[in-house]
Amino acid sequence: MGSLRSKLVLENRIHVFRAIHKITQQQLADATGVTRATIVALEKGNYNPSLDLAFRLALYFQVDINELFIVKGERDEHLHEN
Amino acid sequence: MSTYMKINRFIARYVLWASPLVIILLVVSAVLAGPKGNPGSQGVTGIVLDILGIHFLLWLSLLLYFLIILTVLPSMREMILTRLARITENDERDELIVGQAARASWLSTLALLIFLFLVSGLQIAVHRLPPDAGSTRGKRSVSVGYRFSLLEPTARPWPSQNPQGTQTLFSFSGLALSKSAMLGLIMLWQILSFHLFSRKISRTC
Repeated sequence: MGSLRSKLVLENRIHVFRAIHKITQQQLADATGVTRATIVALEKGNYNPSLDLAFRLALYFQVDINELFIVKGERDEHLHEN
Repeated sequence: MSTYMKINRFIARYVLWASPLVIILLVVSAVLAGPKGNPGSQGVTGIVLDILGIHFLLWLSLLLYFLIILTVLPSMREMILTRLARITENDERDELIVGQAARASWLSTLALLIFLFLVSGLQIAVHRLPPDAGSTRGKRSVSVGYRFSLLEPTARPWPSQNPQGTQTLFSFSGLALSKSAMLGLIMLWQILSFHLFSRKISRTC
């Protein structure tokens, strides 16, 4: 892994676990207390959830958070330096 | 919720929901009073006009109180203005979108305010010079000025005085919008820009 100052590219397997559990986006949204639009955005990879929501999703699917969210790489852009 | 907040909430609801009724009653009282205002109405009409007048005064007083608490109390702002501006935050993604849209809207409103500030004081006039004014200076002249005052000045024509023998072809002296129209425009801009930006951001976020 390169510099830890780079932004990470995260992917998630929410749609995979949703298919395994045979639940709709709306059902998952209701269970985790978010809107369906948020689940859609998460599955598309347009939105990175908060740590709280990430853990809630992992708890719902009864999996480790690392199984649900995977670091795929780094973006070129760097985080703000102090 | 405290009793004070309950009262404020009741006043807010009354002011908002009664506003169409107040406008209708104002029109009715104007019709009843007749074209000359007819302040000395007798009988039932007089009593009705008196009641409508008292109700209007009460509503106006509550409206002023409502506007003051809206400015002073953050909890009231949160409760009333989020509904009026239709700001919804159902989950953390909505909060992110609202935050980003508010930032974009704030910046666009600031840009509009800077533009209006500059244009409101700008004064431009184009004159046609008299034929004998000398050919080296051309046929027209442009006067550009800027007027800035903290207090509203008495309306002065621009240009205040035409150079001798010249004819004004075009003149612009600040915005012709009234203060109320200007404030209304800024409010509308802020609400519309917020919703436009939140829609745009929600497509990518």
